Amino acid sequence: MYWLAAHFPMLGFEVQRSDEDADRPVVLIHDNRVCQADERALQAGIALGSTLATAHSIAPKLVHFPYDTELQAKQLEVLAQATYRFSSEVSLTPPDALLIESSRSLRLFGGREALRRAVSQLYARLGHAHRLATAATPMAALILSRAGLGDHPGEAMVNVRAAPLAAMDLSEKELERLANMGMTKVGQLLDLPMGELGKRFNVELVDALDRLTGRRADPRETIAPAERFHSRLHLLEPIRGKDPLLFPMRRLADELSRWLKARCLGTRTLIWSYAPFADQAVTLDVRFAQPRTDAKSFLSLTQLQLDRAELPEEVMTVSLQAGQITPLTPASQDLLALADDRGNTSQSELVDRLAAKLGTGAIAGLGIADDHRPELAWRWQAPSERRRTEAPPESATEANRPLWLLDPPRPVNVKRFRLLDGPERIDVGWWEDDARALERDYFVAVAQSGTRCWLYRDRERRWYLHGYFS
Amino acid sequence: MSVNTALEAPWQSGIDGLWRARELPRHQAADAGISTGFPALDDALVDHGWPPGGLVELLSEDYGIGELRLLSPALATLSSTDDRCIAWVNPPHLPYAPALQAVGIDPARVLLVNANDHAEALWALEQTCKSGACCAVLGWLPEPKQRFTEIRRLQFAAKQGRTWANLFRPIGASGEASAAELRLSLGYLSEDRLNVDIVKRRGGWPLRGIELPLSVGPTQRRQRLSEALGRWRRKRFSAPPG
Repeated sequence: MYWLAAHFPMLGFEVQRSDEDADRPVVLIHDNRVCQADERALQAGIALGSTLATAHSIAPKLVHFPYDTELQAKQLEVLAQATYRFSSEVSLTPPDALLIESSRSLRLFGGREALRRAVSQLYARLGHAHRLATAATPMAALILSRAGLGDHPGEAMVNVRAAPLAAMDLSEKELERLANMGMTKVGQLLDLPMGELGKRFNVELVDALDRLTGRRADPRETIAPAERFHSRLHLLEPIRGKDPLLFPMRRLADELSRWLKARCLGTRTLIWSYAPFADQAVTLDVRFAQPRTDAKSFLSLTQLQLDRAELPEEVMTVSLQAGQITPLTPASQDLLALADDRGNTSQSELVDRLAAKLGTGAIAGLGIADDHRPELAWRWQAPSERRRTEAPPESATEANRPLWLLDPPRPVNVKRFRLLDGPERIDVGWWEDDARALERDYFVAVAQSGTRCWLYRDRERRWYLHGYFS
Repeated sequence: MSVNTALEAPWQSGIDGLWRARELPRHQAADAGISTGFPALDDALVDHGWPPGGLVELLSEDYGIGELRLLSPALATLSSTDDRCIAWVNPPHLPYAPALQAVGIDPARVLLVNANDHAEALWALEQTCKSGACCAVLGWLPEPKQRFTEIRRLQFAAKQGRTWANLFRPIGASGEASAAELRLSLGYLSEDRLNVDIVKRRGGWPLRGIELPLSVGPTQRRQRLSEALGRWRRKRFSAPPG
């Protein structure tokens, strides 16, 4: 057995941090206390376990995120799927480590060192700090990678003995008891007689030590590779024009549809690719608002995009790949509405259809945001989210707001308007940077044409038209 | 008893089942329209409201004179009774979500579609009408002139999808023939009143000069309140002590 453990010490930061705060200290917060801190934060003097307020007062430029186990678990799963190319036995060790049993992959990848380099390169390319370690048992590999001793020369078991006990999967209480007995290294624990240890501690500790040394088997649950669909059709003769292409496309769409239905899955993206005899293939991405399974809608939505796409003159190979495959829970249908003769397109179908022809940017939904600034009191929202807007606070509905908003506001000459009502002072956002803070006096006014308008005067006493009441 | 009254009596007492040409035909309850929220307008329409499936043309000189306040009571009703979405195709400005919420239209129901050109806008309008996934569609087209067949297609699509479709067009189009179910010409009277001329309606002649009161915003309510307060003060303090 040859176990390779990969530990991602910064995973919690890497899933949350964006590029713009790359050079600021970052901490993760759990229960309003710092539970992880990056190197910059530690250098600034932030201790683990200190409160968020303390941390912010130590380092004013600090960025903090909630400690999100779900997000980490998802990313770990992604990493595990990516690692699957090296071995068929990859197992997750939440929250931040992977185990790879790679004894059967060594020859394929050209030996231990080469395999290790390749794995390391993969993680570096995905943008994750990592520590690798190898050992004969999974526990030993994990301890070494967590303790960062994976690169030490010499026998793995010798290095494990030097690792701190905190790298083992022990509970806080056990760690404290052991520390009170003067035990800080794994080696010290291994030197104790097992029988005595079992009497004083619980059986799990002895069990863990047995698994560490290999006296006891340590089976791990391996991940199943994600389902994929990729099918291609080589044509006997090149096809010119878009209409004849529909025949091979229909075959592929049918195949995908059957494949999805058999597995109770749906897909949200289709990637078609049309390759000429020698040149680069042209790909076409079709996206759906909801996961779909039926070949008919695959084709009809693809066709709308195909009309706009430029294809190679002669297509020799058509291939279809399904992305974002998700388990499908078919929506229940209304028993009585079956006989309804109304156009039976659902909203998501309409959205897909419009998006396929006009582009995804052309379709949007509206939502309400809780802010006093008129520009920030609403937001775009994906049209397929059919959640009801919660009732806004009373003050929001009381205020007189125009039905049409001009975005951006248009500078106007106030002499051409008759002011009806106002001012309504909106002075908010001073806690943010200058661009987003505003200090405005809003007026309801009537233009010469009789249109009711929403005007405002800014700090420099310039007037702007911001909306029509219509 | 004069001859005149004797002659008028059968008309005025109203004989059951007698239909007069100036009345609208009796509608069936099954296809009753969406109430406009304005009794004066409801009475003039054959469905007693906006057509639940059909195209309405709204002709006006300028956008912003109150056309949204004319539609908003019906849109508010639909957003609480119908679970389909309300599509806005190619609107001239941005529909402001807090204001929609304030008049009772659920912003989550709004589907905004922006088309690049006239042909795409027409296509999007037809798709939204035909699909049956929208209870109401509001459309603005980039080009003022439309061919008769285009309007007819929209009317047909709205009927098919049982969608209340609204198309906003410039007033110059009122002379053209149109296949729309209902054509209204909107005119500005004052900030809170709108004049509606019915250019074409199903089951009736054109009708001119329907005046509709538009909903007053909270500002005007405040104004009226302060005026009432002023009147009360004057009365109270100028009244002779008694």
